Amino acid sequence: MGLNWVQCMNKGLNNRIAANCWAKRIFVFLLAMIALGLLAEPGYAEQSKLEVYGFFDMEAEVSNKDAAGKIWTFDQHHLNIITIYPLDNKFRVFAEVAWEHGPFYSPSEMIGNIYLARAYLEYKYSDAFQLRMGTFLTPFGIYNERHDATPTFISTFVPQSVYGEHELSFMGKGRLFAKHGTGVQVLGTLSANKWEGKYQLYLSNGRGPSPTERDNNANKGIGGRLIISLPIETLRLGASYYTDRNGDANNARQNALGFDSEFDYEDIHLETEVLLASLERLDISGAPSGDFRKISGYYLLGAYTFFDKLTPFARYEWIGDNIDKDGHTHNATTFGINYSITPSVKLKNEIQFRSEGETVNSYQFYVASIAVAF
Amino acid sequence: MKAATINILAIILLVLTLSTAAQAQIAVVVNKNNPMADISMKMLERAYLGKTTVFSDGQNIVLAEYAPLMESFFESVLGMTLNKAKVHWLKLILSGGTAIPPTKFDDVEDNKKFVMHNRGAISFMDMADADDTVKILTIDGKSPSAEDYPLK
Repeated sequence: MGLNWVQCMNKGLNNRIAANCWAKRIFVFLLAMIALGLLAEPGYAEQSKLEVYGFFDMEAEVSNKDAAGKIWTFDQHHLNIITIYPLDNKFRVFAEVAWEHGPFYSPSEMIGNIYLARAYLEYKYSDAFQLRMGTFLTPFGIYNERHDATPTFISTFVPQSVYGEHELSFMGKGRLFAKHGTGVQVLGTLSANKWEGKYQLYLSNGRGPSPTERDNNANKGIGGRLIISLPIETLRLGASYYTDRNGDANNARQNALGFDSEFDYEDIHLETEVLLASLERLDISGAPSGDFRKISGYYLLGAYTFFDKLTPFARYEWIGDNIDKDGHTHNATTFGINYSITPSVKLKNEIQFRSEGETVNSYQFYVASIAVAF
Repeated sequence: MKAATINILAIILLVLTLSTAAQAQIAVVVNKNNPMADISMKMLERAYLGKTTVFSDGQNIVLAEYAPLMESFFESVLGMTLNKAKVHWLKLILSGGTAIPPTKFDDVEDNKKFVMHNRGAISFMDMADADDTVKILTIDGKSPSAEDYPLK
């Protein structure tokens, strides 16, 4: 079995044969996890059985950005299955497999994505100290560890100013911090009186051509996140940091620093995040120059829930792709209203007014979605 | 006249039933082998929010909830509606939180059996249903018979 995983990796990451190989391995892995769960002690015994959770969503969207956008479309965006298998009181295995955009793989065509979003062994010494080993979602900001779990989002989409892909100085577009990391992470929660702090520190391979298997440089992905819950329990403050060298781009240094805050009082929810990132430029020879391009972004979101069901919200976000130059700013204002059929099933409607610098005219984007957690 | 009398009696019975349910005294119970005798409201809140996952003796906390009393328990202990508590747990699970969500019981006997068979279990039930198969905790030093017991 172990050899088979390695064989999949050897087939590369972006071709159909490799995709089929991964799909088969993931299917077998899930079957094995479910079999383990069925073998576990049933009934009222100490909890040591497989737990299965997940989420599903579907969207209908249309925009007036261009001809393609004007054709409204359905998108079966996410189906993610999370399995948690507690080995005993101290150890558990956590895994998440994602199927995006109704994937269909065959020798002649490949639609959507199937991938292992998380897979780690977790050791819990106490609430104050836990250790994770494997592939995890980078603890960054309010949303990255919630990942694509849209039933827990207010908007259908995470704020693009912080979590979206932005122009990189050396190649195309990319996130300003790694979404995933493979390595080790320590985390825990400490409390004193009415103060509470959660910390997460990690060391990973960082980004590159094969981040889950082989790092191509000695500079690892390093970062951490700290969340402080104040004695006013309705307010939480967070800070996140991530740095690595991008192995896809001649090992250029990338840094991201984020600050976030959430406030909940009765039916009011407010949140904001600020992202400050710097990307190392390459010189004429393609080597890292030591000169950094600065990027910054932020958003503000406010929501109010009526009768535990109906949540209108508004969000404004702004991003400066390169604050050294003019004309590289984008902004988006979103107005939406959600209806919770149950706490696990949400209907969402929103319209975004987007403006993307000088190259793209302002346009509107409408999306309706249904999101289900289970 | 007869029908009207029956209707009035039915309404009185309904009001009496509802007021009895509203006045149900909630007992917080643990396994009989759990050395704990008292729990603070803060600890109870942190446990049911998944922020604390172990008892002071190192035993993992195994949460259970009794459906008929969930609404009043969450309102009193967490200051949250049932829906908000569920959304809180969804966020926690999907973001990889280490706490295991409460196991829900509609039947009080099943609830008691669960507590009886799980060394780390903690649950709640109507005081009248709590028998010697489970251990009743005091809350912040106050026993359920005390005037100022917080879950009355």
